[in-house]
Amino acid sequence: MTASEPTLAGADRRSPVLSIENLTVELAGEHGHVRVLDDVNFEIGARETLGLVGESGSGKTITALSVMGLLPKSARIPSGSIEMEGEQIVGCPLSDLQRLRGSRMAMVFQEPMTSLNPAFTVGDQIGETVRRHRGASRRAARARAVEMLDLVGIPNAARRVRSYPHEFSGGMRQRVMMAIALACEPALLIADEPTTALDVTIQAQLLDLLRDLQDQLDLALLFITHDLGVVADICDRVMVMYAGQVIEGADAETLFEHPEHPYTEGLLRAMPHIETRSGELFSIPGSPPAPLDRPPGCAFNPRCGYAEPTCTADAPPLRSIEPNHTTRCLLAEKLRLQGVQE
Amino acid sequence: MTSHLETAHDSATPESGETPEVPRTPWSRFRRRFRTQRVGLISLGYLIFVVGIAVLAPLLATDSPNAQDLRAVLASPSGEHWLGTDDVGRDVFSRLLYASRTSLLAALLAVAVALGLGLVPGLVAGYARGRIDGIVMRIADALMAFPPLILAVALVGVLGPGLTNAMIAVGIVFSPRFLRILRGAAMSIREETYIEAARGLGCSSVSIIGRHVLPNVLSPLIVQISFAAGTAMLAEASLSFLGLGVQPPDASWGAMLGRSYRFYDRAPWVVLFPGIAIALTVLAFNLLGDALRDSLGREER
Amino acid sequence: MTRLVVRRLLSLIPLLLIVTFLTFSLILLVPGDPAVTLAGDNATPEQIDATRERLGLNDPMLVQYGKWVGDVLTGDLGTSLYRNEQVSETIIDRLPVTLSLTFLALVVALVVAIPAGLIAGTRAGRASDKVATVAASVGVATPSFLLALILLLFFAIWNPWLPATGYVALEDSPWEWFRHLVLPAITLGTAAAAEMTRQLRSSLVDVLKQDYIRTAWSKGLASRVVVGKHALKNAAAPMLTVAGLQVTVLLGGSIIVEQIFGLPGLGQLVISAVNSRDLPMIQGVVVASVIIAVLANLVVDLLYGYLNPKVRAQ
Repeated sequence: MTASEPTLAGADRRSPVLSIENLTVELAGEHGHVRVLDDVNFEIGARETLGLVGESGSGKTITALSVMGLLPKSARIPSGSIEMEGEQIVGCPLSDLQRLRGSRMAMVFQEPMTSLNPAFTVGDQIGETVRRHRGASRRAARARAVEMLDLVGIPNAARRVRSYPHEFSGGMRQRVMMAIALACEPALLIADEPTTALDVTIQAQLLDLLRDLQDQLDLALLFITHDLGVVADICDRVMVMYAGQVIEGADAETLFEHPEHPYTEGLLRAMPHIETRSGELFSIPGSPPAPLDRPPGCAFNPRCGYAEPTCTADAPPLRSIEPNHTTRCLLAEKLRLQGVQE
Repeated sequence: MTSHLETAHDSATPESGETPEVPRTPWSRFRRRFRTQRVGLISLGYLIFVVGIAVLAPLLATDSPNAQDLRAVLASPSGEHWLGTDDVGRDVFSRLLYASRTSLLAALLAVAVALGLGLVPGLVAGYARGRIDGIVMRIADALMAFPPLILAVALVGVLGPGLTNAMIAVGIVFSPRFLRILRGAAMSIREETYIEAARGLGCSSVSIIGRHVLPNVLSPLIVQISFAAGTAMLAEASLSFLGLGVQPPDASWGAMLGRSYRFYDRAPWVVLFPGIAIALTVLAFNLLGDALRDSLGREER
Repeated sequence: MTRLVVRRLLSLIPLLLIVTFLTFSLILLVPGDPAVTLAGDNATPEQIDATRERLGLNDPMLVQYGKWVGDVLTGDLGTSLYRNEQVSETIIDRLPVTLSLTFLALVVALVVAIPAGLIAGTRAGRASDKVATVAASVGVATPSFLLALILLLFFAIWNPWLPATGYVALEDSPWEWFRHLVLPAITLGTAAAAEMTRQLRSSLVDVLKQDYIRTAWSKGLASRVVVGKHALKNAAAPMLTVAGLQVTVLLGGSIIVEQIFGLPGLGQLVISAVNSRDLPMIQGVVVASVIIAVLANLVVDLLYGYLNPKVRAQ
């Protein structure tokens, strides 16, 4: 942790479940390596939920995949550290990763329709993890699978354990994914847009379930989404990402009420229930820069309504503007940004 | 994640200095893509070389292909007989050159028969749909259910041995492949004319077929012809090997091999060289087919 | 599952009807008067009449077919025109040879194709993948007689480790049966191995990009389980389809291999029948081989149901 890049304070400072420092990720492109994640720092403690928010391509998923050690082969981590319960993940052997995945850290993906293997029963896919990490017998694994299906709220668990993924709806499949992820009671669950592909009522049910499970299992939850509405529902703290960088971080309430970065303000204004007077949805003009042609200075400056000449000069660092509130905006003190009042 | 990769790629293109590639016609797109297929180009070059050999055989041959030299039976390769001689003292090199004519013609004939047999039923089935389509496809499926070489041998058995009959038999065996492609073509022609009629646009169905349907049919057809030519050459070699194809004294590569096979332990070259000629040529047809498929296919992402 | 089996069996009936009809129609392709042609060059008018009578050529076409199919259904394929033998009995005599050869060739193909396809598919683009891809292309293109020649020279002539020709029945000596079939099975199975390697490679490359493979990795499964269980079961389905087609091709290819290695199977039988224009024998072998091929593909279909639960449920 460096002075200029303060880490957001965790709820349980003494033993964070996951701790990321100065994480940078590069992808091999046609013209050498391209930086897609730039100096990310955060910690998550047990029973805590950290939201990672941003448009697609902002680096949220890269962050999650780095933790799981699932980055594509073309990716490399030139610097930074990821500690899972004190164990270093960056550069560790595959066997260590395979021991941690599924047992201490687990992940639920965005696409419930394609994330389950169509050729095996859901019971097999849940039990497999238990057998792998706890050396459980076939019978014990099956029993655990039934228990987990029950826990995630799938009716008739004892019978459904023998069903194949194609016999479940999208929402039910996402519950199965959670059952798989949580079967070995991991300390950390990463949920990458787990509800994006589902309709709104199912989404709400799943978020309720996730909250319940977090309480029951003392989970540290890293929740990735582009939807600030969902963030308000479930997260304790939020980090907003833009073009591979964290541009603002605060606890959820503060961030919503007093955003300190114009991009966050834009995201808040773009939320469906905050309509402009004309009744049209607000959207931030332009689109995020490609990793290769990042503008000089603040990455957001070409789209920012408040940009001043200084914004195109040096890249602004992430700094504390208040205790437990960080921003990358140079003008944060000057601007009076609009938040949301619940 | 994927979006990252794509953005990285897309944003790189304008900087790379290449002219933006907007193919004007399917043909120019094909040429642009085929040029990058090194293996395909080599295969095509090799096939042109073989055709050249076949055409120029009389000029290139060191000997008459049927001249027997009983003093030099099963002679090993030497300065006089570059690839040795066979069991009646004929020059293997010269026979190999002449046999390339038969082998290539046989493959051509079989593909033509297969295409011809598949053409009308395929187009009719695809255009008429319904019951006729059902019957034609059932028959095509039934033909594909036969072990191909057994069916070919049986057909030659009843027609009588000989190169033409053998290639008709191979053509019959292969016809369902072309039938399927042409049926698909006819179905899309139907769709296109239907759409055109419904919209009442000015273009004639001839121009629709010429501009949209034909290129889409030709691509799979050309690819299939290349593969089928290779397989047909193997089939011809097999039938001639069994003595059911070309009849003496004419020879194809397969016939040379079949006749001399019983001497393989004493004179492996009489079998080896025609065998290698077949393998290389079939390989070239297959690799060319792969390259054509990759260059003719729709743009993939 | 039972319902699937029954449905597939029922769907075979029209196929078998067409297949038998096509086989029967071979007689229509005989040039000239079939009785004259088939009775041979020096046949007397009495012999020609006898041939006509035996083939039932005096009846109308459909009646002939009806009779023939009826006989086929009861296992009667007629009598040979030249040998005083029941066609069906001769075929049953020869069948074990061809089935042994085809079966072992399929085993060879699978034993080669599964590891080769796995290696190539999991290392797409790397050297081992390129070697496997090139080897597969060469394997498909190599005529079986060329391959047989090379194998014979190395393993039977220059090093007399294996017999070059002949067949020993499985019930007489399993070891000798195996020894006699090793080279023929490798010869016959190589092209199938190449074809299946290509198929497995390409479907594996495809499957490994799927989301559920990422899920499998995220569960902490060992690479061996992710590839060998999660990817392979999904990639095996398309390969299985190819394997079914390959059984058909192998039955055809066995003609050449039986000829080269002196194996007294259906292939040799059909060649001698063709050389003597023994039509009932030709038709018998064709029907027998197509039925074997169709049954093999039925088995493949059912295995496909095992690999793909969606198909099973339908």
